Amino acid sequence: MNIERIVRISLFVALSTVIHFFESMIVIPIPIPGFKLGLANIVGVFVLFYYGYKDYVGVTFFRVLLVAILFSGFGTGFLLSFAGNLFAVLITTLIYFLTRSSIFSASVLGAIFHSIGQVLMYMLISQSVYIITYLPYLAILSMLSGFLLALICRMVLIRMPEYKDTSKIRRKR
Amino acid sequence: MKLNSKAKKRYNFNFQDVIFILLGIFLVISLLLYTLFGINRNVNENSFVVITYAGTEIYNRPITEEKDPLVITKQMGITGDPENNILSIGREFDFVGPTVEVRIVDMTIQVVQEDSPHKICSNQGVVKYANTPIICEPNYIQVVIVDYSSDKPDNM
Repeated sequence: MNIERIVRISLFVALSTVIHFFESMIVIPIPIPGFKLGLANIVGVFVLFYYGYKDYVGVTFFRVLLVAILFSGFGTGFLLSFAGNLFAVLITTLIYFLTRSSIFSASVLGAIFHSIGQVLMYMLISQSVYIITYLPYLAILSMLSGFLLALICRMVLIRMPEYKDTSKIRRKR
Repeated sequence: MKLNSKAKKRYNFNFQDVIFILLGIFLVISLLLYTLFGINRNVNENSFVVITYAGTEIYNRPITEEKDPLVITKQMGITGDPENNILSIGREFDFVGPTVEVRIVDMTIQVVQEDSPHKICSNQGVVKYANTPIICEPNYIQVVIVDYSSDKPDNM
């Protein structure tokens, strides 16, 4: 791990933590437990398709840790977030490597598996399976938000020069 | 600066995305059909109301016993007195509000009062289906109607 990567990961961890903080202020009037927009995932998808999977995994898990340290503590919220992000990272990385599909399916399937992971973890914690009644609604809403986030992420990505080009500029200087 | 065409392809919606998103939609629809038709949602006189705190059952009584409201407190010392509509979570009282109030009337359940940042479980309103929980995540409280009758064989 070189210094450039350390700096890059910490930069994006900071960015996604701030986004996460502002997102927690947005109240969505949908009476489904656990639904969030997942705005911080824009950063994740961007990093995955711009810098590669190592940075993506680093940014996601350090963000979960930092959010727990700063805001929520290592309680139920941390476990739910960890399980959701673990599932999302697994499926998104699989899609990134095994297929030629774009950020849209990575984001949408990541969002679906994020809610599946959270619901499974909640079942483990609360020792009851009733929460599964909400999983389909949670998954439909996550699909929609995942698609919208991919649209936003695409707007950013198409305006960026290719990563190798930026490193070339730096060396030429 | 010119974009690498190979990289640019992965930013645009393509044919493989259609397949994967359709797979996702299929997954979600099968989950929806399972929860709508695969799970027993009927409530009858033999149903029970179960309230759990952090996975521990603190209340399990027939739904015909009306409570308006049932108060869950974190008061120390009281071990719970369901006859007088008071429940105490007892040991680790890690709880946001001073009380959570549950209303059990007309075979329905509802959380009428609680303290949490987004008030999700009181906004959820009245629940009249079995196996559909009301979850107060910051308070670790879960209220659900359970229908045990479906689990037992009919001829017993």
